[in-house]
Amino acid sequence: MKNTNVIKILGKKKKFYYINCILSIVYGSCAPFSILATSYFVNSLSQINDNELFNMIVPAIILIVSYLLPIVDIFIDYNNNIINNQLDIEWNTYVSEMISKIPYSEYENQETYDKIKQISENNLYIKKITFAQLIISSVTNILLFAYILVKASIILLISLMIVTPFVGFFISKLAKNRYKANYEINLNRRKTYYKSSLLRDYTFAKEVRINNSASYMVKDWENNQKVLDKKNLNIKMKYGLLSKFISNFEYFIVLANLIIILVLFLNEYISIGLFIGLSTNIFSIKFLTKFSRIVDLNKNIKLLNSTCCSMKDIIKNDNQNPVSISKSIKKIEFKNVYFKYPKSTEYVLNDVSFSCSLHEKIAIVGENGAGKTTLIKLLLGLYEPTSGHILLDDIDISQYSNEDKAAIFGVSFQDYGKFSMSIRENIMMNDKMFNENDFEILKYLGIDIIAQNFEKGTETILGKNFGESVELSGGQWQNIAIARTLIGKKSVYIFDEPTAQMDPLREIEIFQKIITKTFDKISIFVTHRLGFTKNVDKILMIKNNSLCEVGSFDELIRIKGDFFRLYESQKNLYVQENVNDE
Amino acid sequence: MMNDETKNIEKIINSEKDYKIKFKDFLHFLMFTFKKQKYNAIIYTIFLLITASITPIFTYLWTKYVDYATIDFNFKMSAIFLVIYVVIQMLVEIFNFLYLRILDKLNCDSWRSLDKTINLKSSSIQYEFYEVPKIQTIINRAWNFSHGEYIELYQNAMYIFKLVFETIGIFISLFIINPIISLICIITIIPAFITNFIRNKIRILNNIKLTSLYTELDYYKNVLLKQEGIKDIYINNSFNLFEKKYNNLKNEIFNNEIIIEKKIKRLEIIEFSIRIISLCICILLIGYFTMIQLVTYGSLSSSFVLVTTLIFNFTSLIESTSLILTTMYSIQQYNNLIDINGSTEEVEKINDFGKICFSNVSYRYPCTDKYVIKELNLEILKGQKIAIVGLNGSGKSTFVKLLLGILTPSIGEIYVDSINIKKINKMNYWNNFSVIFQDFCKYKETLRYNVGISNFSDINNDTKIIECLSKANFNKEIDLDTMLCKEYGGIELSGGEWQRISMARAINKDGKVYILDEPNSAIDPIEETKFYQRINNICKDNTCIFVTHRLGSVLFSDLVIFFKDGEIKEIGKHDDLINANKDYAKFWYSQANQYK
Repeated sequence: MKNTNVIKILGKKKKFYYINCILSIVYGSCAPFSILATSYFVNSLSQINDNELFNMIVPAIILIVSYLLPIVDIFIDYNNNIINNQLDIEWNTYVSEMISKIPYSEYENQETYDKIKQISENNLYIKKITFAQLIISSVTNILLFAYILVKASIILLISLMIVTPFVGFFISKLAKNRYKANYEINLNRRKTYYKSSLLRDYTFAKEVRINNSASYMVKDWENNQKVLDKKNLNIKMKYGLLSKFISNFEYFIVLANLIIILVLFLNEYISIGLFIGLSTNIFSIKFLTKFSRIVDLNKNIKLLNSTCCSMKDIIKNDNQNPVSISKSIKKIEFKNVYFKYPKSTEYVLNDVSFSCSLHEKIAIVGENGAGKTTLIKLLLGLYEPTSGHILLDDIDISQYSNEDKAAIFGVSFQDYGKFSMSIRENIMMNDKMFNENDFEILKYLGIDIIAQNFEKGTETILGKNFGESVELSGGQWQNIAIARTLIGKKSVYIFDEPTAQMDPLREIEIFQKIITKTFDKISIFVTHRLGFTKNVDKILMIKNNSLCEVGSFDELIRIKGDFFRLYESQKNLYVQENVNDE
Repeated sequence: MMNDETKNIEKIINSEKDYKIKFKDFLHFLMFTFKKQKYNAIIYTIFLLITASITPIFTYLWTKYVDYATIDFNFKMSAIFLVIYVVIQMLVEIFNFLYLRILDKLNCDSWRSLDKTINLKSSSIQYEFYEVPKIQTIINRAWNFSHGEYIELYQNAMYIFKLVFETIGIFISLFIINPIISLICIITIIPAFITNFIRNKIRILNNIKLTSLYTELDYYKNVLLKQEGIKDIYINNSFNLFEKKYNNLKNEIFNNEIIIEKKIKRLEIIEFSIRIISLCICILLIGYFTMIQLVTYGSLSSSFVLVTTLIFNFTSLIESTSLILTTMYSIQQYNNLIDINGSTEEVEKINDFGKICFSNVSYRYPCTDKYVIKELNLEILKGQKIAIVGLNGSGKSTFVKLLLGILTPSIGEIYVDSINIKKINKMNYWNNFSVIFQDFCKYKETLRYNVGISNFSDINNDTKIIECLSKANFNKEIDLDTMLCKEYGGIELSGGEWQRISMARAINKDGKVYILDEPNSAIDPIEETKFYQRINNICKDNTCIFVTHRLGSVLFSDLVIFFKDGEIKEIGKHDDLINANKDYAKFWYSQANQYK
């Protein structure tokens, strides 16, 4: 967490904050003021006679004012609305910047992900501002009370103050434990939510019905929810009981105080007005409750702050690289790359070395789970190799910033993102408009025809999340994903199973189109359809987590290795004689 | 709107009612909660009665305490009353704690039962509704209602009960001190409630206007926290886009809200002033009465306490009612879901799943006006292996959904063993199918759950699940209780491994008809061949329907059906169709040529 000054962030809204600070002082002084007003009123009441009624006007007005004073709360609330909106936006900016700096491999790490989620859900800025206002009003409140009490008798103040530090310590400990306890059941909470979402989500609706599994799922969810509810209630019970203990403890102090006040009054140390004013309002002083609120919030802020700070270690340093990075890559090189996931011992990729240069088309083939997608993630710098180097134009991939990579790579993943945004935003992935080149690509891929079906054209919102959005078919979505890859002038194109959901005619058409568009660049295909590999310059065959064969189609067929076997088996499906023989 | 069967669905889904404030619905909801929680509710009511009666006692004690001090100057008596007062106060505090515990329990349980109703409903409404994007909005709204507004409604209702009882207690106490004052107090509430009503109406109207924007805002806030699609965001460096979209939308909503907020705050100020001033009049009156020695200082002091509490109670009461009023309209969100009712004439059962017959079936998706299946006539005999091929959007998947009975034909009928499937009990009907959908579910659950879910009565039968997995050739040696997702502390599987799990799931169900909706898109070539052979072995005499666009698989079928634009263009054996040299042949060669 950068040490940001929240007030600075407010910018032009600063004045609302300052006004609120002043109003908080007024708000804090309401209760003490009303004690004084009451005592003044009662004193004047006890001293006048029937015919001097107009002498009561001033005390009465003061009393009314003291009751009206809390009206400032409405203004504070209004100003906070304005401030909080600003802070919400700033926090969102902060969070999304933070996520953009977290390496993807860390994002996949559950622990980090939990932290991100926690940070995103708790706006530290707003908490800090609330805290500041709370402090201001409480301090005013306590000081004025203290003044009144001291005026009455110093013993009152001492008896109230003496226990405060102990209770404060106790409360802060409580706050921390509560926070922890709540954090611990987080996973439970998420799981339970997931279980219930299965029953309501479109993606699961078909199978839930066909398999008649709704009754089981409901039961499963309900059991989990019951356990969760019980845990929640226990936490509430435990900490509720403790805080009740504190507030009851406060009653003892109040009782002691009231008796002191009584004694003081009977011995004529204080006036009847102050006696009534104090004894009426002493319940509302609640030093400890105020104090505990402050401590509680403070602890909360501290814990959140430490979570934010812990993200600092994860965030990769912005390398102020002096190396000028060219956006048009001419060569990619893998040098003895090994990779394993941080906590596992098994290597997902073993000693991978290859290189490819401009105008080359590469196909990566291999069985499921062989490590094809991992290879792509490494190339994109989403994972860092455990050892070895990945060089783009002889510069290590880690030297490239996110922006550089976005300008270099066009990628369509197997599980590409489907965002509930307009067609344009889904393709551009930024807020720019299409330019002429982009339109050409849209036309080229036939997206303009898809868009024509809708009233708003390329501004149509996709997906099923919003009422007015339109859902596309699998093939159409894939088209969008390919457009996303091809748009903008990239220098390396990567297609991870780009045509899995397309019919054959369309598949060939799309492959042809991709090849035509990317012929003068580097393009990498991950595919199962070996028929296609004839069209590429180099095939990388991955088997058992390492690169086993590299070469052109003809070369690999000639050596009759693993690739050959794989190819033949697929070919047999299309060559009828062979099948009929079997 | 076209005049066919589908219009029933459209009618229901478009019958979504406007949001209105309905007290009847609200009462219904409270009853719903109380009915489920009889004992807690009774205890709760007793609590309320005690709360109401305790205030006059407090007033009496306090008055005595001050009176002994100010009139008799009697320390002993005064102190006794004071101690009793504080002790009872502490008891009430403990009492309150218990009350809150009961309330919490009540909350939790009623909330869960509401969630359950929503979950049951959304998992049992006809699938066809899910084809309309709007249904997801309706479901989400109902769910949000249960998790947001409902709790608010409910808790505030409870709180209002408590406040009302307390306030009655205060009135009684004031009445004992002086009847006129309690009358004035009652009068002061009326204007406050009127302004309160006005200001809430403004807020409600605005909230309804902004509902869709709120949903959108929520989406943008969470899109970076969703694991699907995050890679694309990383690689396109488009964090900025979502950030901007969120910020702009937030500002838009804020600008809308702040105008309303200004109006509301103005009303609030007026309301507050009226309330306070009239209460001050009460106090001044009591002051006057004290002066003319109609009432004692004790009563004066008590009425200070009472009036302060009253102000607090009024404020809370008004806040709570306003919250209830602003959220009451949202009950409609829930009712919109609950009111969805599909057909109920499903009574017939089938025992032997034989011939399937499509008679003149046309289908269009609800809220669209293009038929994606056109006048389809088809007979599928028991034990046939059928391959359905065609271009994207030619109606293959829709055909499967119609066959499965999760969509109802717009025109025409589908019969199984001469029984119209509309009339067959769906649970019974679905038991006959083992299906692998194109977008099969990857549950973030244990391996056991993922396989066993299709036949959950056997979910703890390890041998059966292992057998299914081995039939599906799932070789990864992991424990059945391993979580299949990293998020919940498990492992991540590859696409092919998931596919095998989905196959094991289908095998586990042991249906009489196998349907494979493009099952092979994530499988590598060697695996693909094995896959078809395996399916053939498993199906044996069962009917089996492949939907595919990898034509290799058609060789394992008896009959090929070629779809184009929602119609069956060609039907017959593979060889015959190749010889006919029409669209299908073209289609076939386009793929086969790649391997020459």
